[in-house]
Amino acid sequence: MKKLLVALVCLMMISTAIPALAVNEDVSGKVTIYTSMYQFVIDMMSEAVKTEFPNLEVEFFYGGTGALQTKLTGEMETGVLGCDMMLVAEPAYSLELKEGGWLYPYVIDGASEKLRFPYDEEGYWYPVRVCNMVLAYNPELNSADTLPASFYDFAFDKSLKGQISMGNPLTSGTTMAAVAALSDKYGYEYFTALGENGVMIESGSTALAKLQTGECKVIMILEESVLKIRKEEGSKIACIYPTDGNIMIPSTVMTVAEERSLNANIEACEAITDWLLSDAGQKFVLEGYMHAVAKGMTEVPFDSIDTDGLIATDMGVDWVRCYTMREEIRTQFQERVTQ
Amino acid sequence: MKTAVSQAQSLREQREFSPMITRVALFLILVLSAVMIVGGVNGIQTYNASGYDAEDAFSHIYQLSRELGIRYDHLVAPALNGLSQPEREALEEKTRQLLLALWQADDAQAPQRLESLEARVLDPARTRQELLMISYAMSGPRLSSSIKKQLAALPDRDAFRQELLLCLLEEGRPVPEAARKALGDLTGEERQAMLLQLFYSSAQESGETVSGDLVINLKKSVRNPSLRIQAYEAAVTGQVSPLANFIIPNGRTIVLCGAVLMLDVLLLAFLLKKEGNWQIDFKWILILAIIDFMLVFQLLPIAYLLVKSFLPDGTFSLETFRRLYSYSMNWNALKNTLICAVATMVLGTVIAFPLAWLVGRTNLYGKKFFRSLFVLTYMVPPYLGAMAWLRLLNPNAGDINVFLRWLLNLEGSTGPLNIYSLGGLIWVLTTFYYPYAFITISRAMEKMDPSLEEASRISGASPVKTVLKITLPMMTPSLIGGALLVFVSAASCYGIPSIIGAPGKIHTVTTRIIEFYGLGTQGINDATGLAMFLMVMAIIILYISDFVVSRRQYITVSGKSTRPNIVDLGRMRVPLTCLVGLFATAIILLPFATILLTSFKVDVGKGLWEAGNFTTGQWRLIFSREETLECLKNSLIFGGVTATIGILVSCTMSYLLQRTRVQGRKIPDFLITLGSGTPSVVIALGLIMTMKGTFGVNIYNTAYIMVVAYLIKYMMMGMRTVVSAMSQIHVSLEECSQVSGASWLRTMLKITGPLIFPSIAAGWFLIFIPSFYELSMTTLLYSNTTKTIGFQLYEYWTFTSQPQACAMAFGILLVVVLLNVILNRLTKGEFSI
Amino acid sequence: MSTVQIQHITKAFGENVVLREFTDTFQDGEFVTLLGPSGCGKTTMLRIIAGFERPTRGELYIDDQLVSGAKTFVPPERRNVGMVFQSYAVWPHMNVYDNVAYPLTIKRIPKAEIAKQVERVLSIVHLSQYTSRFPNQLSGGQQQRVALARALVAAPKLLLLDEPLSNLDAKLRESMRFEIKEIQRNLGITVVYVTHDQTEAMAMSDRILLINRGVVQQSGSPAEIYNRPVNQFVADFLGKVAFYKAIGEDGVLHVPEMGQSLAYDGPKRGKIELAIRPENICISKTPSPGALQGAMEQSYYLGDVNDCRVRVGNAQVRVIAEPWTHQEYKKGDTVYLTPVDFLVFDDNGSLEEQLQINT
Repeated sequence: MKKLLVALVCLMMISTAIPALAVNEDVSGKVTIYTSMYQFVIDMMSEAVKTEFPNLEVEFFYGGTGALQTKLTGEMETGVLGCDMMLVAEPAYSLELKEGGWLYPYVIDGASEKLRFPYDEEGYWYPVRVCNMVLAYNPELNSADTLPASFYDFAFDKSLKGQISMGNPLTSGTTMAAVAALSDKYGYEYFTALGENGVMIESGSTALAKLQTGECKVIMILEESVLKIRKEEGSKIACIYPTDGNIMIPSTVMTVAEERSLNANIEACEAITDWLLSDAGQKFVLEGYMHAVAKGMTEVPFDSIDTDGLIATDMGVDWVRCYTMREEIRTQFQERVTQ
Repeated sequence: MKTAVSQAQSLREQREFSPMITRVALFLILVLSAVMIVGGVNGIQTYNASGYDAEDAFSHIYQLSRELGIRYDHLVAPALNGLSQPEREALEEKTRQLLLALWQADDAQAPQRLESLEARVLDPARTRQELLMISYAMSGPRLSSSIKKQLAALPDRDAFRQELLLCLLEEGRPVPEAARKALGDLTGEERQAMLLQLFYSSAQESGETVSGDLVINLKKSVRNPSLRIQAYEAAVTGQVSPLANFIIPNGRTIVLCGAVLMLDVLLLAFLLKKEGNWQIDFKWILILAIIDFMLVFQLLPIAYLLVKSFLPDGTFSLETFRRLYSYSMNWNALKNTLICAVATMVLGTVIAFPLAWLVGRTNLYGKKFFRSLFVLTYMVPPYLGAMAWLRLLNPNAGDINVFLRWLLNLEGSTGPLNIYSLGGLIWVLTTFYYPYAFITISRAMEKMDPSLEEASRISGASPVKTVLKITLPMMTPSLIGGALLVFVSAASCYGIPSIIGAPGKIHTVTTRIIEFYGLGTQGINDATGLAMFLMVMAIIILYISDFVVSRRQYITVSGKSTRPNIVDLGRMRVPLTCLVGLFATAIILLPFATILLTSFKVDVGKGLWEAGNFTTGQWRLIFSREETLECLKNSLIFGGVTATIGILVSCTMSYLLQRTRVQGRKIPDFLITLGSGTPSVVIALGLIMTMKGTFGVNIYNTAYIMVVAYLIKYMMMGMRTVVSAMSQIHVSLEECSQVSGASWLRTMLKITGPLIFPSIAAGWFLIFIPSFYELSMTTLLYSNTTKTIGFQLYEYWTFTSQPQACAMAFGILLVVVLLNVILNRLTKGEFSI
Repeated sequence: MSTVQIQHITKAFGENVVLREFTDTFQDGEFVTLLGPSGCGKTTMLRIIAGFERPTRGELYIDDQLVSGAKTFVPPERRNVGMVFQSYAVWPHMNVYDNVAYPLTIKRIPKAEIAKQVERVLSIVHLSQYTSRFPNQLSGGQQQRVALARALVAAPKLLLLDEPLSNLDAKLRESMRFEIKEIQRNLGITVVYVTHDQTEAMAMSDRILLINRGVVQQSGSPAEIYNRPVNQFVADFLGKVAFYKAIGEDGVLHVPEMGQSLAYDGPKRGKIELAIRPENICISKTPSPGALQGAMEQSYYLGDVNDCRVRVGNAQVRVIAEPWTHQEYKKGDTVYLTPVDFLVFDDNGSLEEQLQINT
């Protein structure tokens, strides 16, 4: 009895049974989405979603990855989150939330044919956009041949001492993924090398400014930041696609478990997930300077190079390791680099 | 014949209550609060019970569905369209068996429960079916959306339905093709349930289908306590009593109110007893109200976090702390924070005092201009100033370094000055937080009795000696007040250390705290543990300063109106003005100019006048976004409300501290200081956890939570200013007013208020500014209707465009300066920094 | 001990002229009081002497040394004068000893010497046993004495006092008056004293400068000023006086208000102002030639005097009489008043105009 009670009263794990089918015009109600995408991408998506689902009220809530994760941690304490979907962070975070029982599994048939990036078999998370960690330099101040062409050289080339910069893996999920991959490939000696090379730890915007002023020669940064500044400000700052592999970091879409979500509108969440993974939704990802996850999509964000090519050269991140060994990787990084 | 005076006197006598009445009233309120607590607890229990009590689960879903208008007909009728009567009945019977079987699979008592429920409601037959249908509606098996799409695309749904119907009615019949995928490996009852689901789902649309909205509403209303309670009550008692209806869902709030009320009564009784005077004066109410406010909105969130860190798994343990503080990186962070905070405090005060003296008491050229200029730095968010200093002083390409290398003909491509050092950090912190000391000291200095200094002059001491031997010691209370503000601000600052310290691998407690937050619950405990250090430090500083100040209580504003004596600087006038000007340039004009110039650039690395690098685009962009105006409005409102409430509380608190001998009057002061010493993120997190309804208060995602957050963090600014000011007023001024017949409130408004008005105004602004551009807490607490300008700035900043952020920041500065000017004009010069 | 020479000192604050052409010399060891109503400029003059204000025009010499002039200005700390402030200005963060020793510590005098001097002045003001007390533990009078001791400890040439007793109660005020006078006489120090209380000025001063609206009305000894006021303002300011319009003629003053005449052999003729001090009138029941006849209306017995009101014609004349007259002279009795002394001024309009003109 208790089990059925739980199913009925408090834990509506499985929902369905509306005699009418969920077609777009019938997707209604309200959905709140937490996301760390750029505001302008949100604005575009908002418009499109409104057209696609006229009866649905979607509220996007923007925050930096770190801020959103903190906010969610606080909300988790109270047992109910303030959103229905999340478009934030990388798979390691999704694994964590999945383990905590916060997510709802939405099985998409034929996902493997649709996506060219890893996804959760049980349907708890799918990648929706892909960030690409690369190196960047300022061709107006330094020419490319004087600079390292690989992540390895970035850390080990002593001539760069004090003139390199990267994000903080302790606060930035993408940087965390990147250093996890790098430590996987080169061991923790990589961190030591970074530390000895005097790497500066700061946000992407600060690092880009330092490239412009010449304070730094080479920085480790997401490709999308470079593409953005190239397009919107006509900057000449360019990417170096490292020879030992770029690091592709997908950002996931997750649906919150029904009883823990704000609006309990699973139908709408499923519909939106479908839309995001469709060509229409992926177009906006490209507008946001990120790569698309849909298989067979050949368009790339402004000025970038072929996505499939990048996938081929991808260093690869072991997401499980990233999640389970996070504490150790962080500690190692702290001790070797920032101390 | 009664004269006016004696009439007033006797009126007042009539208004006074005898001690007995007061005591009786208090006792009654005590009883009321106890009743509230008990009632509230009862309510909570019922609430919980109604949520989990198995007994009447169905009945209240049923009630709820009634509320929402979901009925048997809506759920079933369309599905049965087109069926003949016997088929319909057969299906109904099948359904009933199936559902009951499903239910019974979990609970052998199911049939009996259903019967007992039926006994309580009116229409058993219909009810049974409705109940079962509704429960199934909410928990039936899931159809994947691909299946749903498939069903929608079926050419002939009617035929499909007929097939399914037959399968349902006849065991073992093969299923239609379209259904096979959905059924997969299911067997037995689950298979039957799936078939049923498909059957219902395959109905054509008709005008009366149950929309998804209704079912969602049902689910949400089950989560909604009020509705659930109502239903529960209705099911159990057959009717809903309004009182129960109110108490049960709001149980937590009632308990909270009751507890607070009880505390108030006990406190009041204790206080009145100490005073020996059982008159309930307005001031007691005010004081209690403030204490209540701080207890609920300040102590509760912080205590919650602290409890979590001390009891991570429910058992008391110092493990967190042991782990944290044995980690050398944390120790270094602690050390750095202390060094920075102390150095900033000392440097800031050392800078502020002579500046305040020069600007307030001498005939320096351009005094008014300098005074306005010196407080400018704290009107800009600190991290922006940090960015500017970065641009100027980074060792590789910093403008100042480049200039110095050229000037002094130095070799090499780095240095000589390196901002990524402890010294650099201290420098930037000082330039940003010394205004707190400056403002506090300035105000106090203007109000000092000049004859004290004149007596020193006539005794043979030069102006400088007078300052050192007389003015300085007399200013100690406000010096300490200002220094404390600087210390606490510097210690709990995050923006500047994250930009300047991190690249140089200098960690402070605040940056370490942020780094812990990504680690989930354990991370929060760790972060709180670290934050405790800051909070403890703030408390210690508070007590030290109080101890020192209390030993030297100086009354310097007496009843005689005074005109401050202007010291003639003589030959030193021009040199000193130049010195002050140089200082102003270095500390203020340079960084601000950098920000301004950057806002006009396209490429940060290039000079402003290089080809194509000048643009007003950033500025145009800011003003063209309507969102900006909305945010500006929000920021002004939030900042204004915070400052006003904060200053009112400060005045009351400082009265409590200075003019009464009440025991425990230090407690609110303690709480306020604790709040300001707590890092912003910790406050925000504590508020998220406690203000979402767990303790009966739910202000999450509203403007109120922002105001509360700002109050907690910034109230101390106003408090210290007002306290210093009040300590310099002789109590005789107020006593005189009271003797003349004025009530306490009137005295405050007509006598004390105007006397310390400049400090009140300064305190208001000191609270307003940081609330106006606050960032860390806002990013965690905002909702789409409560975006502020600080948050906008954050957005601009993370958009990888420094020039945009600079334009925004400068815009904020202009707004604040404009505000200052407007208020100054409105209050005829009384209101200004 | 020193002289103070004030030459044509004028002080204006913007449009407001506070002192006009103030010229005087204070002799060595003299006790000079600047007396006058509020706002007359006496405090400003004192502050100019101290060095806290600079005169708009004029020169100031202390001991023949120019301390304030067109191109010269000696700041207060170098004038070597002592000053006692109205609000005492005793520093709350120092105890009595430190307060008093302050001027000497500034001059870096050896500790032993300081102790001696402090001991000396504290015994002068009778505060020897309070050395370690703090000002908030002293009464008003005691604080005032601390201020006085501090002003005297460095043996200044000149002592300036700015209404030092106005915050004390009446009895204390009286006793302090005499104490200060005693100290001054013993030390032979030049004192410039500012007050609005004429009793104080009369009791303590060698010479009084009566000031009104920035102009010195009269400078002289207390007796001189009191008995021979040069104008009606002075007459009115000091002591009690009554004014009557009269017409002077051949040895007689006709007083229309009284309807009677007084004998007068002074020079003034025509319309004049007659000023009589109440204590200068003899009252008697026996008529005598030249006496004014009137009827007793009121008498207030004050213990040491009998303050009477006598109706003479249309005027009510105030008479300060011996105490025993209270019993003897009842209401309605006919009494005869003989002015022992009176003053005669030119009649230049109403008294208010007179007072205004005399500026």
